[in-house]
Amino acid sequence: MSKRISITRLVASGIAAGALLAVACDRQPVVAPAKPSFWGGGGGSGCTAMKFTGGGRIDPDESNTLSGKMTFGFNLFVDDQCNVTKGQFEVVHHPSQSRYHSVSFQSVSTFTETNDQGQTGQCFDLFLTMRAAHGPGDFDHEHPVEIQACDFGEPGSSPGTGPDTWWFATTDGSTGGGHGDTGNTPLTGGNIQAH
Amino acid sequence: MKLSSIFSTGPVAISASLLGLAALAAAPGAAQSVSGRAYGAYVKTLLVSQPQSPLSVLPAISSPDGELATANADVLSVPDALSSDFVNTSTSGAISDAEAGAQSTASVADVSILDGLITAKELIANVTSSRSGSGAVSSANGSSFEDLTVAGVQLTVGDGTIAPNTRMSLPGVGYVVLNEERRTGDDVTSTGIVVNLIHVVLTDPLTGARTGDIIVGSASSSATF
Repeated sequence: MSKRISITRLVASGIAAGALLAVACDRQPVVAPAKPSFWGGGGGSGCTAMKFTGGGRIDPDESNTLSGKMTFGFNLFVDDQCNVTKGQFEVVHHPSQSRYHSVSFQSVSTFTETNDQGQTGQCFDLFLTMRAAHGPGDFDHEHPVEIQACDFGEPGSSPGTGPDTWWFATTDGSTGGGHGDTGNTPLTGGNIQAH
Repeated sequence: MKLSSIFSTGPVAISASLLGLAALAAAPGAAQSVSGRAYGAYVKTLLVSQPQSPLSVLPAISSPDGELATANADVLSVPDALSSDFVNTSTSGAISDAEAGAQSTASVADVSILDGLITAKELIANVTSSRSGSGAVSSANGSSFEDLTVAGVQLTVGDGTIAPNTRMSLPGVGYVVLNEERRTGDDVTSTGIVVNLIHVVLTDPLTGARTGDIIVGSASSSATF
């Protein structure tokens, strides 16, 4: 991913983070992250300065490589140069008792999206590094992750129908519980707020 | 102030209604606030106690800003009262010129209350409150009880929901309120919700006097604009 100078500024602890990587997950050779199915041209095409805050739950079904209850909370500030000026993410995948917490941000873009109901949403696409724990104990390794989320209005959720959406994927090819791709999933509960 | 209360006939009333409508619109710097709180469990009995833990509290926010708070525990146990594990709480919120919102989540796994009187594979309390140009609303969508059993009776198979404020007697112990829910605000300029998934109220078997509380899975949020 070579799109902007800001990447080198974002990865402040990249080298240190790499040294901390522990082989706690089955890893495949690093592959380029797959774009989500509703890819609208973000992830490098530019940014509108925006702030996103949210939290909630998704229940991706078993057609996704990462399925079952996932809850999350986050805060993300992006400037018009696609820099993350403030950010924190926590994600919990319940069937595998996995926790993820943000460490550093590699790249971000903001964009608008129109869903099947004709609603226009404010969205972000973020590549980040997250520390992870699978089961009891402290965070003991890291994964590259991609997260996309969209705010399609208020209220953000109703059981199974959103309209807000959340998408989470580990992008290093790791297998096993707590890794994979949830697909673009409407919120079962909670809210994404673009402000 | 409800819309219905400001509409009436006459020029004075019309002026009053215009003022009322103006008050409903977002006024930057007006009394905007959000709050969020989530914890896994709280115990207070005659013998043991456990403060709200692990506790996430949303820091104070001024427009335009947003925040996130999280807390976790691998195990949360109180002898003779509660055992549980994989406890996760988080709360986030934001205020801008146009809207304010907060959302909170508390999840608790492998729950056993009062030596198996109440058990659940996992509880998730999930709430959100928002106030925007389209109104003020709170909800507890996404809250669930997985394999909940009370006094030997299985109430949910897999992930399921329980009607708000469902009360069940626990002979010799007291009673339990499942999906205890309280709402605040006028749903016009303010809204809030508190959800306690399991709230056991302990009572003296002879006098009926309240002797303690056990709360598992609590999340709350509010937004005022």
